[in-house]
Amino acid sequence: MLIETSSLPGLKGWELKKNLGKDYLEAIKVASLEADKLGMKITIVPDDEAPKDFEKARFVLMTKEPLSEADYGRWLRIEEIASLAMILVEISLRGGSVPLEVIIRILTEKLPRWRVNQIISKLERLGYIKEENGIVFEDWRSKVEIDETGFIKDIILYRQDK
Amino acid sequence: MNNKEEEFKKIIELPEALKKLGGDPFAVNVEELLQKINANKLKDRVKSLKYESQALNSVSIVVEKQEEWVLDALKGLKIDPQLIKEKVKQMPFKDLGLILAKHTTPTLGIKRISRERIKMAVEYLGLVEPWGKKASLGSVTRHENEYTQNIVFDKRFEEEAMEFYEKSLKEELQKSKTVPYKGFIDKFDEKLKVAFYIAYLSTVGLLSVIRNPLTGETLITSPRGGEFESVAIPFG
Repeated sequence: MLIETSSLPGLKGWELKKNLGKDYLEAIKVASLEADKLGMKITIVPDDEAPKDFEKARFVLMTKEPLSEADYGRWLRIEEIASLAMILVEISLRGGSVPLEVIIRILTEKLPRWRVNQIISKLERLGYIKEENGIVFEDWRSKVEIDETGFIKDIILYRQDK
Repeated sequence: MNNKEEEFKKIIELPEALKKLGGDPFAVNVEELLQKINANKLKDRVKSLKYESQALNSVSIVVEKQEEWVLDALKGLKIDPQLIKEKVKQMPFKDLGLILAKHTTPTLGIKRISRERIKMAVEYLGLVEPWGKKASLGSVTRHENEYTQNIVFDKRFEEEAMEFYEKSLKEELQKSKTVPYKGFIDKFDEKLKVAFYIAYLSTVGLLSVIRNPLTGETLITSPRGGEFESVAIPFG
């Protein structure tokens, strides 16, 4: 589960079945108990087109606690995290989707256009956002990894002088 | 009118239907609609383009209505969404990133684990997992790949192990043929490290670790093969 192929972590259900046999879900249950002892959890991310099919779902290993500051560098660069934050705020305030041109306009107020393009395509590649016909949505990774309510709440409560 | 055209028509009329019925715009799954538009290509290319552009226009109206709905809901809570947007714009990038990170539990991948930690994990596994199942002598074939190269089999460790063998073990093995494992390990302060050196030296065929069936004692010997293959031993 730790090996990242094509930038995406985790394994598809069919890959687990191929390696562990047809009772792979039982093995996942045992692995979940062991992961829990180590401060991790196994999350099943359903496939958009077949949400009930475990073989098409992605099985990923996650930490149970949020990132510590020392780990940010191995996640994303700070301007990438901040850009993702701005995109998620926009998506959230607009009810789940936002035109790509709006995202580009907002981010180019802070960063050069070439860097904005780089960041958007990186966030897409990593599964944080997805773009269809010029409209941007949250992708599976944002849904699974980010506590959106807590995030927006902290934005509202933020005071620059604190 | 065929099924595909009917689907298009339904999407095109959606904003009007929402307006008439006063429904919740979030009852509409925008993502699903876009997938439908992409999938419903008509044979007549001109007609298809016409329907697609009308349908996309309707979807953008629905997206707009969803935004309005959220704005109204936030205003009801006395939170001005425009204020939030402005706040985000004014916030230093670092603070914005830190807030998001505070609410993120990341998916784990090998790229997020430092080389040092991977090495520690592999050393740990080397100690708890049975090894030495290989009957013939000689070095064990390593399945090196981009992950293990330079990470797991650290050149420095190999050099240290060889140096340890030359200095502390080779002469003793030549003198007495067998060395009691426990007694030998106990002579050193870094017992765990020495145990791992011995495990490594055994895998490259410089020595064997066997158990005397009569006394149960574990012994380090000159390299042997066949039924005398090395055994796994618990440490600690």
